[in-house]
Amino acid sequence: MNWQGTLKKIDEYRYEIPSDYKGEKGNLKMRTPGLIYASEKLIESIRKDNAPEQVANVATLPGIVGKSMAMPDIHWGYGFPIGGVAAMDAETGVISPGGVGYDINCGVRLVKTNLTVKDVTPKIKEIVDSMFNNVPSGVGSRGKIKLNMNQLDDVLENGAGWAVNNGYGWKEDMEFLEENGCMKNAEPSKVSTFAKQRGMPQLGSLGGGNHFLEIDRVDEIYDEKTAKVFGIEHKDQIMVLIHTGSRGCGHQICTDSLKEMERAVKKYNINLPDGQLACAPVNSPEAENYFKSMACGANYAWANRQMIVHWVRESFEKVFNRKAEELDMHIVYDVCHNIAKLEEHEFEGKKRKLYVHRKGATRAFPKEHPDIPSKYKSVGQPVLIPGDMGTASYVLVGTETGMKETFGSTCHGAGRIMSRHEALRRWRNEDIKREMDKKNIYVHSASMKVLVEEAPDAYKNVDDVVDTTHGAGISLKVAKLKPLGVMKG
Amino acid sequence: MKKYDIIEHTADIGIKAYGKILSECFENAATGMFDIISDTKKVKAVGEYEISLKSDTVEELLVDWLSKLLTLCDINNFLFGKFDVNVDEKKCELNAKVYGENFDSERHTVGKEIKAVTYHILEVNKKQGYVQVLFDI
Repeated sequence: MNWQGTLKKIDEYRYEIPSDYKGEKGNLKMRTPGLIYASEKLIESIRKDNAPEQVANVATLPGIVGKSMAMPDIHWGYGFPIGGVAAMDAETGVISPGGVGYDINCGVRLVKTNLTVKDVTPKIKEIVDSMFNNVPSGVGSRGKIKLNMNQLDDVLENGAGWAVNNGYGWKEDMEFLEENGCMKNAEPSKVSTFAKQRGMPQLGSLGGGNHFLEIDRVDEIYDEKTAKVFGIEHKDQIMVLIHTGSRGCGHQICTDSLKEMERAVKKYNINLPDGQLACAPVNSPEAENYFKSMACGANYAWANRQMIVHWVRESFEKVFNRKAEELDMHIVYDVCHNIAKLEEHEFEGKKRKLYVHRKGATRAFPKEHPDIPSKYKSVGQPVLIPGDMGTASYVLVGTETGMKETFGSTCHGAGRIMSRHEALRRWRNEDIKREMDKKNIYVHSASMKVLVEEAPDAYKNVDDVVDTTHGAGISLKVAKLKPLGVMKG
Repeated sequence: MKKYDIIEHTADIGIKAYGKILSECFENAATGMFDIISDTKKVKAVGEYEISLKSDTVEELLVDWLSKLLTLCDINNFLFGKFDVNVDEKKCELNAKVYGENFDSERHTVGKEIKAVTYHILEVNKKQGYVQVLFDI
């Protein structure tokens, strides 16, 4: 059933839910308006899954600063919508695990190469198959190494740094990761034994579902100057995109935290329109513990992506018989799209410390921001947007407009529009394979079903999503990447 | 009597599990979950595991029960296929014996990866004989 609430069109890319909207039950007390970034084309499908109601619900949270926002890839989630962005005051606000998601630091990493389509097309099957053999993937995938509890604690504390110190990748990689691949406030003692036990066998694995490795070619460059600074030199340049998160470790941290938060809501008398917005005041032990364990989950994901990058480089070395350094396989950037960050922002003329929740949303800082690599300071932070399997992915850049309006946040990807069962009813494996063959995309997937479940038409059009954020000015298009080969679990 | 129905969802998947008594609903919910992960019909009862839980509400007990199974499954690479559950509603306690084996890629189907058991559309309806839960996948 379509969402019936009021959406006030502000301009071509912005729709507001007025703060006097009373919600579906008629008793909602919004503290601030909702703001959905969407085009007219997208807004119809956005009404279909009730996610706008969730945007309104988030607006009731105590200590919310600015509006309850949602990006154009918005769809229904737990508590917060996916594509949701909300900032909470660092003294009077709340922290909510639902504003981060189960897959803590699910994110994307982009690796460049100096190869071109001509080099890679004749060997595409070889490279994808090599990656498939080298990178554990699939439902319940387990890593190649056996960690003990102490080593796992090291991973949770040091993130990508642990991986580099253990021979995965290069030291210089870390500069090009959000947070340099490690949130320093992580405290492994706050993570349950269960979460660690789930994490131990899975480190260094892709997982299943919508996680993937993709070999892309640069299809279009919209901003040559910025692209060059990012290391995107020319069309047909080959890049590798990695999409994965914190595996069972992160999922368990979120599950454990939600249980704590359920109790905290009663303890601190927080009135919530939706139980899944379970949260605790920022300075409470519950919120502090969550933030410290969330950081551990985030670090696990960075270590995970670091190991995978190492194996991707090895796969290329094997196929091209040249060292990864020679192939210039440097990291362009690594972004999280499920995370909460303590950041300083200017709001209504004052400097404020805020917990910015980005669930299915990506940080997009502008030029000169101290938290982005010095190499990128002249242009801004790269933003990596994975599309669905058959269309395109994008590289964007953060802007001042975004910094002011969305606390430096933008979209994260395409967003599903159809259930997996519906996809399985509509298409068969052969249909999707044929479609991919027609587009000259070689796909190697561990499961027949997942190919159909992840069919491009089960997702929104990523072009529309990215055009909206570009049009709104909260992030700008730099380059478009199109897949040549995809590896899925 | 049908054990459960799948609840379709845009991004995730749910279960509505039936039973004459709550214990049966809890058993069928677990069967449903493992049918999403794999296929319980192909899981042999090689090993036995005992689970005891206590929660604040019977709804939370359902989430905790399924979460516990998911955790055990993930940590040890197990699959469970048979469940003997006893739910004490008044005390919000659950005692169960669960049976299964190690995941075997040759014999067991690979279904979907369930990331977590959520609180969404969570329902325990003793009167009408069903429980309902949604999984994040």
